[in-house]
Amino acid sequence: MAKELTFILAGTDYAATPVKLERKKIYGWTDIVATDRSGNVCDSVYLSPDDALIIPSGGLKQASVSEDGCWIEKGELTAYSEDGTNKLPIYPSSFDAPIVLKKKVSIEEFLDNDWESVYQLVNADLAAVVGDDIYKFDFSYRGGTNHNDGYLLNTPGGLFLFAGDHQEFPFVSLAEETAIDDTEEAADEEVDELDFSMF
Amino acid sequence: MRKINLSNDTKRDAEVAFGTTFYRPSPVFKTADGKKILNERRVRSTIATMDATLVNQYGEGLADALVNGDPEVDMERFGLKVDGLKKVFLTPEQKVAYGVTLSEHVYLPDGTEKEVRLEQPTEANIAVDGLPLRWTGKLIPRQKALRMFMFKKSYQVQHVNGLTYDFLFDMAKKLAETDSMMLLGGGSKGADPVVMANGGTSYRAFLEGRIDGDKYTLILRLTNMELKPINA
Repeated sequence: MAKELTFILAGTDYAATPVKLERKKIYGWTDIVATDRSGNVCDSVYLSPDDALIIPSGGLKQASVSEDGCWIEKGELTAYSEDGTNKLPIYPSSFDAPIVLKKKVSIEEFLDNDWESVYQLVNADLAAVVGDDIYKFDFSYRGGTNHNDGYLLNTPGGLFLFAGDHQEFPFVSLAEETAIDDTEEAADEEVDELDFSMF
Repeated sequence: MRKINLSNDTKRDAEVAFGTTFYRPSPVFKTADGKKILNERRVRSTIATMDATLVNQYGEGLADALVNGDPEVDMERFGLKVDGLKKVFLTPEQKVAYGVTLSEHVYLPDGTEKEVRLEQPTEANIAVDGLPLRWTGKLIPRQKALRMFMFKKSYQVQHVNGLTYDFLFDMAKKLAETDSMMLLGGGSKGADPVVMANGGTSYRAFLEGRIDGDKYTLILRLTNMELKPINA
């Protein structure tokens, strides 16, 4: 049975199973298929230029190794902040304990986030009590060092849980003009050839 | 910051800047004795150890070969560190393919194949001379927009001189006063989705504006997904 999140709002418990919202579930998806001159379907593989080694799809693995090249299991490692100074806190999974909904936020606070994931929650009673409010809470899907701000938002399409991190959009004055840097690389973009049929 | 060409409600356009300082810090992992570790891509399998290759090689004797030895492991190359890999295509005869044709197989959410067509790579359209992203006039109240779309990426739009300060401040003021987001469109008719980079995702783009005295914030919000119910 799928795991449920439990929310507590005004002293009442509400349970719902989060289902990740993905484009492919709404619009479908596109696969790129390569064919050679004879029309045969070709596999995508990696070629190592040094020794012409051909590595199939799935033939690579991200490995943790020590400076002297020894394999290290993830379980033996501790996560630190990016500068390597502070040990990162370990958060419990949000499935492990009820989430108490007590903090309402403005639409700006909700909008100013970089979203990692959005989940559909089906619970009509919870949707009704959330109403037009937006609730914010601590959220960690799996637990561990990964942690987001969670938001509960009721929409005409149902109730959704957003998980993301705050993104700053400071006010700027006339004096704070910036410069265009054409050499700045475009942000990494995932290639998605699906027809866009939202409007 | 990168360049973006925007037009306003009077169809005046200007090249301004956009960008973000947001990033998610990556944790550093250390061993119990405080030593940093490296994350590297290592070889797990090669073409010689693929299922299809082993079946071809051993046929019905594959099970015995697996019991008696380790043909599924390339002892020479397992765990090898690899850099500078190139993506290529391989024919069914396991030769590198040349003159490959790429096609798109489009599937519906239920998995039914809807269409097969030649690949249609996207082209960036945010900074095309003479083709600014257009202020379409389609305003959506913010309260409604945030309940309609999942905004996947957001960027701050900023002026590059005094003239563009006035241009962007005016946009932000109009949007703030209506508490709405403006749909932007690309292409000659201003109806195309917005593509930030060649080969990148097509998005619907909205502008959101806020003002505080003589300061402003103009935010370009990109979405490629509506908040719609899905079958669990």
